[in-house]
Amino acid sequence: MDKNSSNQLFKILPAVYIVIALVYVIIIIQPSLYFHHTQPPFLLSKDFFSNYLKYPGGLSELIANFIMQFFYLKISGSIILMSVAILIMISARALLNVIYKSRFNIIWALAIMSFALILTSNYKFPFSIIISAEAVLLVLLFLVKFGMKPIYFVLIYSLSASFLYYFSGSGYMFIFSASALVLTTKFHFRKSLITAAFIITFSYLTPQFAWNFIFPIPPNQKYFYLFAPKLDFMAYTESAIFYVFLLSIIILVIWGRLACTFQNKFKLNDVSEKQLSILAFLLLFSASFYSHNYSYQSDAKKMVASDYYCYTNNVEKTTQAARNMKNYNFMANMNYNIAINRAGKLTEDFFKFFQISGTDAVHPDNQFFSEVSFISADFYYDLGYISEARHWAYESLVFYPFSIRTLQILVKIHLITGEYKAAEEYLNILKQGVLDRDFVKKYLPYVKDTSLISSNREILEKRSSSPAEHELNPFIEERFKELLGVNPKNKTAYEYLMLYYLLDAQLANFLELYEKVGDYFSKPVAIYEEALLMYGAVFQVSITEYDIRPETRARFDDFIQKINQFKGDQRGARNFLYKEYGQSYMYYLQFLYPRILKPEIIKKDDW
Amino acid sequence: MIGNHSHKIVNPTGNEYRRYYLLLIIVASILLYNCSKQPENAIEIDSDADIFPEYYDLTLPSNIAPLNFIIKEPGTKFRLEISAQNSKSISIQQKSNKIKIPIKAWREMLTENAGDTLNFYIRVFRNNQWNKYKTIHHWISPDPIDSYLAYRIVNAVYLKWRDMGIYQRNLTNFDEEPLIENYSTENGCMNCHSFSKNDPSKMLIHFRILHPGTLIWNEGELSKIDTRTSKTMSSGIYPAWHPNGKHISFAVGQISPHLTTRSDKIVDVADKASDLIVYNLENNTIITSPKISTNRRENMPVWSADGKYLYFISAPEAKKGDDESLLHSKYDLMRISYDTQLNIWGEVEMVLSSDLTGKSISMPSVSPDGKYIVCSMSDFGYFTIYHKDSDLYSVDLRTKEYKKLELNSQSTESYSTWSSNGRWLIFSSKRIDDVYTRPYISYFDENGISHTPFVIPQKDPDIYSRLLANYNRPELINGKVELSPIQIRDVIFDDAAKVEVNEK
Repeated sequence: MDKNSSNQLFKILPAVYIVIALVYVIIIIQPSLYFHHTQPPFLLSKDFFSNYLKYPGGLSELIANFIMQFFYLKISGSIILMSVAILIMISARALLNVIYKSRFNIIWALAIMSFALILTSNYKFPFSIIISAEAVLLVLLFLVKFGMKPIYFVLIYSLSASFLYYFSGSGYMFIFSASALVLTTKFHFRKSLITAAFIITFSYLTPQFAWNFIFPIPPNQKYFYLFAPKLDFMAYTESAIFYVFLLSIIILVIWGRLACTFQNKFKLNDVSEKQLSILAFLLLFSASFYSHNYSYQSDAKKMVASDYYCYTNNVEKTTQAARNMKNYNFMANMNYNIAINRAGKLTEDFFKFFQISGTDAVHPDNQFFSEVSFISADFYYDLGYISEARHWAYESLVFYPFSIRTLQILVKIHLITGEYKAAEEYLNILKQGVLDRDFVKKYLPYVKDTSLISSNREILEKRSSSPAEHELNPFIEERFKELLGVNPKNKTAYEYLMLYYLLDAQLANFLELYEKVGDYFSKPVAIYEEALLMYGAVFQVSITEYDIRPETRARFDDFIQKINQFKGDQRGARNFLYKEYGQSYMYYLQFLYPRILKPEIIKKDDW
Repeated sequence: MIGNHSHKIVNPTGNEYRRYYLLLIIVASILLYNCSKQPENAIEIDSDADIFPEYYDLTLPSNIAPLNFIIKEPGTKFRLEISAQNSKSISIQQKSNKIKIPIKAWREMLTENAGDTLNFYIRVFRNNQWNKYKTIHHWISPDPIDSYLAYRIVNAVYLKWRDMGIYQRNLTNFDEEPLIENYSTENGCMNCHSFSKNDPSKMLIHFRILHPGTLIWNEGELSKIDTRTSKTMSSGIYPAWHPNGKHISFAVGQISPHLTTRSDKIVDVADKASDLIVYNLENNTIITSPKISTNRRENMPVWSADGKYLYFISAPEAKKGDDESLLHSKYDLMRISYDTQLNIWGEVEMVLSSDLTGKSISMPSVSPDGKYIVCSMSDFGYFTIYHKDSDLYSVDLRTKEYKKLELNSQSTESYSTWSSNGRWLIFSSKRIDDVYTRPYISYFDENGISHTPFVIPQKDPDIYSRLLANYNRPELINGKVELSPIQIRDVIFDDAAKVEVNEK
């Protein structure tokens, strides 16, 4: 229990903590998902920058967007995010050390770092907040270090507060001012009072002056601007951890001042210091663990993961993320459907997911939600309905300006529509970004020499499959029919139309279209066979003309027999049959159709 | 040594000659090589240089900002010489292909050579050789263009929008200032900025969705009105200032935006029903006449230059359940006389029938001398900015003859307005990429001929390939709007004054 072992503790435990934090970043946060969800815009051009310089807070947003570009890749993303977090930790520690030097300062600093990381596990969290918090810490450090005399203090405060107002926004200036107010207690009472009065006046008048004479910002941003407003579906909802994170800067300063004031009254010996440090680290671990559990939204992350893996064509991970969600999510449902379609398993695997939104599952834009714009663009692109893919890609560009994902699909769409100038424009913009040069390399030759398109099968196929020259039909069924009308070989359209009929239990239409199944499938299709059997049973019609495999008949008979055992207890039958038949069309038709709005998830123990 | 040396000169051996030949060849090669590196010794290429924007053989206003452009020819050095009869030439040689012409020298050159020609010599250095392209000749018109242009920039290609702003751009240089951006108004919609006879002291802007109302800037007074009444279908849209500056005509109606699968009309806006009203600024009232509030769809009003007539477009009623009549009607160009003093309406007259043109007429714009109307025409409907087939036509109001203007392209041409002197037309076109609308200027000569148009020059011409947003409703004004975004914001957050209906 000597001083050396205590020193060792203060070296080992922070190191261990940082390693754990890094693992947290890699496994839990996954910055590539963060990037994917926010699609932060960034271009190396003057006019792009100038948009961010017009308003208070724009600069921190610009820097955040720049840093977030590195999140595009898994490894660089984790390294950069961790580096930013460590920088926060270092700044906080340095600040505390200047106010009151103590080995325990590292714990405060690690706590602030932890909050920052925990907050970024919510992908709607504006990263500019982290940048702004770092800016506050740095200017505070500067103030504490060089504001020894009241006059210097006031001068540095004024400059720093003005800088923060412009760099990060009025809210951060407020945090800084509150911290500065605490720091004034280091001066003699009278000087302290004058300095404090100056700070209060300055922090009140500066935003007022800027609002009246410099920046045409809306009234609600006058005093407490913390991050840029976004539309509902993109907007970050502040959590308690968010406020704890911001307030921790002020608390840090208060703690430093208190410790400084009472330093002589509490002297720890080596033993008690070691015990206290262990206790403090335990508290830190517990607080971090609790904060993570409190704010972590597992389903939200899985939804983003399903979208990301769908975008990167990783079918297995898409389906895994979508299926593992605790609550039903329409976006995840759509990503699941798109992914299995790309894997050529649309019909085969469709009912392996709870398709509880009914026909909406094959009509992502049925409700005019802006948040489905990416998904709708992908959905229609895969189908070959290019006018709608174009429409949704452009709608997504409204909410995600310069989104790499959107620009990429727009390049392909414009190559298909023959609008080469537009395709070239988007390729040039992608070239100006800091990412994804491979895509540009792949597609730029097509706009330089448009004859190359004749060798691109995908473009040619899409060109020949897209309906045109009429008003858009509001009904998805009709859109599928149009696609089949233009290109009867469009298997995806056939499958979706069949699924539409199955989801809506339009068995007569299904039967009519079933006549052509041989044109699209070389082997019998289980869910179609199940539909035939269910159709026969429900409507008491003969289905003997259809070849149905014995194993499907056996499953159907077993399914019906087991339902009958429950003698009308639908709920009991539903729960009992879920394990065995939950991924069949029979189950969907019997238990999920018509659409149920609040699905009850059956726990494994109840099976 | 000296003797030996002179001997060598007088009687060189065969080997020594060979040495001199070799030296001579090397020197000649170097000289030739260096000569080919001189711009003056460029190879003449019998074609235009590929430049963006396409500034070829234009008619320019004598006060326009420099025509900066990008040379898209491959090369390692780029050279531009601009010469004119009465000025020193401007030479630019650089490694970058982005040509930025010095503004001061350009302005002097244009002023000194008004009514004369400007020659652009473009050379590109590649493969150790300068290449000279065909000379571009621009004619400098002595007629200046209004010094400012107001437009909305909105990042929307289809129906959704988020960021937008209304800006004023000094056309004699590159200064652009926001009049108001919707960041200031919590991302509400703003549109239809409009001026009385190109006068920046009489302006109107509509605000929609959030903090709705119509902002009116009238000779130093800023106010916000609410043009919705219980007797009209909607608040006023598509404003048109009367030349007296005291009345504004609006359309009121219901619109129906819808998507299509057409590649040339990706989206369309149908006019379910519409009428016209006139707002009196002096007594804050609106008035209409049964003659312009019929079952037909009257829309897009515009006053004649003398203020005696109200021109508008009109289509048959959209019948319920008949999509064809709603979506694919053709609009005629009509007019009605109106005495604003006595409040007397005349009779509606046909100016140009869609039966005659075979096309739907929209976006009329009357020349300041009252001789012409320029309007857009397309297959059907009135919201022609989404119609690739939309072109601009002029109608000679003296003879009622109409013709397709020379300025048209294969892409969309739509909204147009005139300069104060009637010599310049500014209009929206999507000719760069078929996606985004850009403002183009064309000289409109005394014979009613429109000259090759050009997109408004930018400090960085590449902005047109980077700005994923539309320039809407370009309006020329003869000075700066002396209003700050802060002044506008403050009024927008105020309540709007309700207009009253004058039923006399």
